[in-house]
Amino acid sequence: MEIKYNYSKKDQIHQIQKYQKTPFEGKNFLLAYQNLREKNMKIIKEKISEEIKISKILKNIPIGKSEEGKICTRILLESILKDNLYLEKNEEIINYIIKKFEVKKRIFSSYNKLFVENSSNYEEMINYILLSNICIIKYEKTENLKFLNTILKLNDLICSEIKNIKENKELNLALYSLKKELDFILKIKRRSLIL
Amino acid sequence: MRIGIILTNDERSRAYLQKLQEKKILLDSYVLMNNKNERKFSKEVISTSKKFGFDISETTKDTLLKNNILFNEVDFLDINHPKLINLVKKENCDYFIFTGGGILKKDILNLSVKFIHMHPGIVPYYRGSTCFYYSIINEQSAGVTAFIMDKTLDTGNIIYQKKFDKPNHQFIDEVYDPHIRSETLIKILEGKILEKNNFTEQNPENGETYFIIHPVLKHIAILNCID
Repeated sequence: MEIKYNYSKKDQIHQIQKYQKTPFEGKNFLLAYQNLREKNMKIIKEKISEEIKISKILKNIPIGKSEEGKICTRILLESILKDNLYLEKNEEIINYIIKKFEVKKRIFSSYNKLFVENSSNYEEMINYILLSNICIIKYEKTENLKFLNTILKLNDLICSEIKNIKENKELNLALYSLKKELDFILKIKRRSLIL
Repeated sequence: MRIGIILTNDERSRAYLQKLQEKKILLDSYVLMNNKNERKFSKEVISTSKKFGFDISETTKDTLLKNNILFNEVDFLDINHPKLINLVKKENCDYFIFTGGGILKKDILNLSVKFIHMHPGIVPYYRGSTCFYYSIINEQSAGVTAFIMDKTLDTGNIIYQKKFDKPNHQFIDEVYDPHIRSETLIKILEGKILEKNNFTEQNPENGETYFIIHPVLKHIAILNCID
């Protein structure tokens, strides 16, 4: 029987994937995962009008400012990704956003100062893509599996919504995150002697 | 010292109860939160569970009845349910072993009884969910921490910690998890560790909290055990 990777297929923005008690399907499951990720990367590459280096994207991120009393998630994630990744204060914020995503599987477009969502909009793909890229950098530095776990879930969601990602910057960032994720997984597989 | 146990009908409770019986350890109170959820297990899972000292196909209630154990039964699964709180109060125990997880709310925490949880990870390094998978990938082993439950997740005072080799089979959720937790429980009760009352306080700020494992990492952990 052909093993399929079904965790990135349905529209996960609206149909939440809980990942509870997922079945073990053998070694071929990892191949199915790899094949589908490669297929998704190919789709993104075809949609990209101009390939931009990640360093250039980060350099060109404008530093915005949230309105008083309100945290605009995109602005916060962009500023963390651009240059504040290792500030102690931001470590805490990153962990908080990861927790929010892991519990609700959604990132809301804005939060109040106590980090309670004050928007009903969770459809901004850029927020999922930015958090995935932040986790990529964190995993590269720490090899803490918590970050890789969140990357896999974010990228499942991103792959399930590829058709809704249109901006060149978002497509480039999504592609970078998918490439990195697959590299990390293949490295762990090799280290675990899973061939 | 009076010690009770709050059981459910899941594989963990089945392992706890059967191993307690096997070791002839009798507790002072048994409460069964029975949602009558009958899960079917494959022959391979059943035979693997038997190799590790319990029969996963035997329901918690059947074990209680077979051994003529007196027990209280409720038909819900909520540890914070007022009916359960009243029941626990009446049993007048010093400790209750709780086989489930989650967070205890104020009403039940305010009782004089302490609740013991077997967490499948060495805290503070492995707090949260499905920790044994992360630990197998990182360290080729897993561990259990017994602690007193408090108002936040996996931060209570540590009673005892025990490390285990990674399994040599694929049934980690069904067999390995209940096996390592129940072995730790037996160790605590046989060693009379609760009587010593020498628990270690945790600093909730230290350590790492993990979330439910993604199937790709889960597969890597399991293949790490059997490949």
